[in-house]
Amino acid sequence: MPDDDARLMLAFQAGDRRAFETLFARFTPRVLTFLTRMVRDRARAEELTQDVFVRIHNAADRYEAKAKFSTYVFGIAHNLALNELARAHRKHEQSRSDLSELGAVDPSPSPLEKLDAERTRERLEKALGELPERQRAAVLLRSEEGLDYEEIAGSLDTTVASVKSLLHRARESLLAALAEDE
Amino acid sequence: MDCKRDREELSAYIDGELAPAPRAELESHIQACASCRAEVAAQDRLAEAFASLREVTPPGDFEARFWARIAREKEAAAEPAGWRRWLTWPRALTAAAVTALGLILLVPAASQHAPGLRIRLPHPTVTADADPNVKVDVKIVSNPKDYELLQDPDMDAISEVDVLEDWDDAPPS
Repeated sequence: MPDDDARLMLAFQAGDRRAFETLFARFTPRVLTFLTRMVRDRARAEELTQDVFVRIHNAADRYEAKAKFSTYVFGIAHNLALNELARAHRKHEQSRSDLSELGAVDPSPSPLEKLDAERTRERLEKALGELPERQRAAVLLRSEEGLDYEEIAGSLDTTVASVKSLLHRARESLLAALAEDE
Repeated sequence: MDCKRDREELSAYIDGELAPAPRAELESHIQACASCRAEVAAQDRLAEAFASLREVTPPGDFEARFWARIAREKEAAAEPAGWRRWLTWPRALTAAAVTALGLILLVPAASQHAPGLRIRLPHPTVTADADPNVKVDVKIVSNPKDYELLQDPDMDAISEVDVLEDWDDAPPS
């Protein structure tokens, strides 16, 4: 049984442009947020988000509602993010300065519980940026996008057991990184 | 952590991914285990930290840019691809420097065209010259991957070059 978003995609497949516009409005903030945190470059994330929706649009004829639409969308976004990160790595474009754009860390110590939301956000973003790519993708899809393990597994083209492991390791690393900053 | 309990299981519990039976069993354990309670509390704080992350908002023209790109791509797809697009540019050329494997240039004998001319290009590089007022039709008879068309920077007078059609079969003998 297709979910609501998948039904919209099927409607677009049948020629309903408004259905695609609804999907676009619904998913672009989520995909852009995911890609911004994945590639850590806002402008590039915007381009990649456009790429995601161009692919969805142009492949509409071949779309099959096999899984939740979010799995389909984030699967494409994840693949594009990995390609971009590999490309950036090859060109040695990934640098510490990229990370600093997401927010400098205040060196003054303070317990996590007492941090204001802004500083917590900055620390978490920095820690997220330092995670291995697949761990980062898994934890973003779970903790920010609210995908369940099966959806994440579909998006990352892996197993639920692997997702479980990725999430556990990601969270341990994030907690350790946040604790270090305290 | 002192507890040897599977931490991945604890993570799945926090995500609501455990089946009812193991979930109930783990909840009983957590009540009795300070180490696991501390882990759950830490994970809760992490979830709160995630809640502080801001969604990235697309710029106002994001959707307009998307549809403009789709329109551009549709337009490009409707045009002849790559080499064909190059050929159909209505540019003024005095000569076409053609690097080819098995090209045939056809100049139809229509009244406004030059007298009929059919040239088989047997070698990779051939240069063809044409009158500035002649319309040259080019029929490709080789695999498009086998050749490329190059523009001589000094050319300035062929009025138009059109591709008639792809010709996938073997060239006529």
